[in-house]
Amino acid sequence: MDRPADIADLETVRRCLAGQREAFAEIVARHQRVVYGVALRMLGDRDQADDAAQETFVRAYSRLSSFRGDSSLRAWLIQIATRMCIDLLRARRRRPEVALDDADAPASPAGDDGVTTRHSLARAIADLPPHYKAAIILRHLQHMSYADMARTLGIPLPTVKTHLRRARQTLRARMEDEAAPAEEISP
Amino acid sequence: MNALRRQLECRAVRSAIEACLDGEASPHAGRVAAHLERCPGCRAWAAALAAQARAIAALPAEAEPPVGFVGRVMERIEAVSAPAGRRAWRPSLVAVSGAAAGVLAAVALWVSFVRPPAPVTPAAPVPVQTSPRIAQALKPQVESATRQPRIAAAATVPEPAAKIAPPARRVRPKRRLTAPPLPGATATAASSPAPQYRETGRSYESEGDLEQALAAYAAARDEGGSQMARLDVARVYEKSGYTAQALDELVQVAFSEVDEKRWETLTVQ
Repeated sequence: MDRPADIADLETVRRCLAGQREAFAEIVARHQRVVYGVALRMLGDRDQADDAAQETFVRAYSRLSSFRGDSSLRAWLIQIATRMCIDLLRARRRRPEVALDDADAPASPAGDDGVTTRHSLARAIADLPPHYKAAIILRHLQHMSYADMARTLGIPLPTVKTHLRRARQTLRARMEDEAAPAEEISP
Repeated sequence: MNALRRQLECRAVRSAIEACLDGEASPHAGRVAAHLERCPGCRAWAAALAAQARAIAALPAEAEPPVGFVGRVMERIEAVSAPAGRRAWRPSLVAVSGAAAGVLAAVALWVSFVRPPAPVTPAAPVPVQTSPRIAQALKPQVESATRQPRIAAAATVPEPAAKIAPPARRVRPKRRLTAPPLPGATATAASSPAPQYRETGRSYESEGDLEQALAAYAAARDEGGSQMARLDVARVYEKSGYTAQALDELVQVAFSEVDEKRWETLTVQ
């Protein structure tokens, strides 16, 4: 919580709570990419991710007085977004119809094989159950510690480890399944 | 026996390897290194795990939202904060007309079949603060407000033509949920909406609408509801055939009762 960005966030939150509603626009502008990114990775659909990201900020605004600053504002927003996406996925009982194409992915040193693998991996993550998916996203894409993940997901720390382990096992199995036919075909 | 001991050691070490690769401090780091030196299987496993972590980390963590995102969020916040009558954001025409038709139909049914002893006022439409799609899945209060009379009517046998005094009917509590307080607003006696969500969930569950019941119970759980809310979620999962998810919720209830430190000592092998 001592990074300059976190300090700037705290100052902006203070202004919002003092009644400067327009200051919240700064928070949205600062964190929109990460919140939308988490929602997109969780839901796998751009329209749904747009809705969920908007809803995240609206909820954050309405609960801003409960933000105590124990964690960074970014982590708090990710928490709101992740929990909402988990509930959306569970309530709708549906997996993303369209896997992410990862068009925004940074250039990879790998060739076509690397791109294919990345798409397969993105698809495999999209197919994970909600809590496993959240664990992978928070650990590997948001670089959260186990303790932060437990706080974000509202689950005990041992459960975080279990979810991560099972998510990785599932991912590995799916990636191996995908690779297997290709190996059989090749001479 | 040796093979079994080696298997157990590999299992314990792999758990520690995961923690090390995740950047978590492990008291077993020395033991892990020693094991890796003499166990090719765990070396290969660790290498695969590290490669997987690198591959996932190469995926984009952030994404550019659609153009005008900030403006749309601020419009919705403005709508939430604005007094009724001058809201900047409005639900779509289809949603409004659909809700209005639902209310009218419900009132018509209520009046023609139920004939309550007191004048009936249909539940007022809840101010839309949530994205319609999100609200549909998570907080079904708008639908429940329009469904209430219809359900009551369906559960009541229409009166015969002869004037018979209607039996006393149990009046169902309103299921309209209040929005959380806004920052900067004067402090009010804010109470958790979790019990109301649970009430809504129970209603849906009794009607057999497990999907909506799950959404309501999940909202109760996330609004700081008691462990009972989590048990509700587990029960609905189990009813829906999602045994693994039900177990997951039950495990979390159980873990919440276990001292974390004690749990650590149980799991470290």
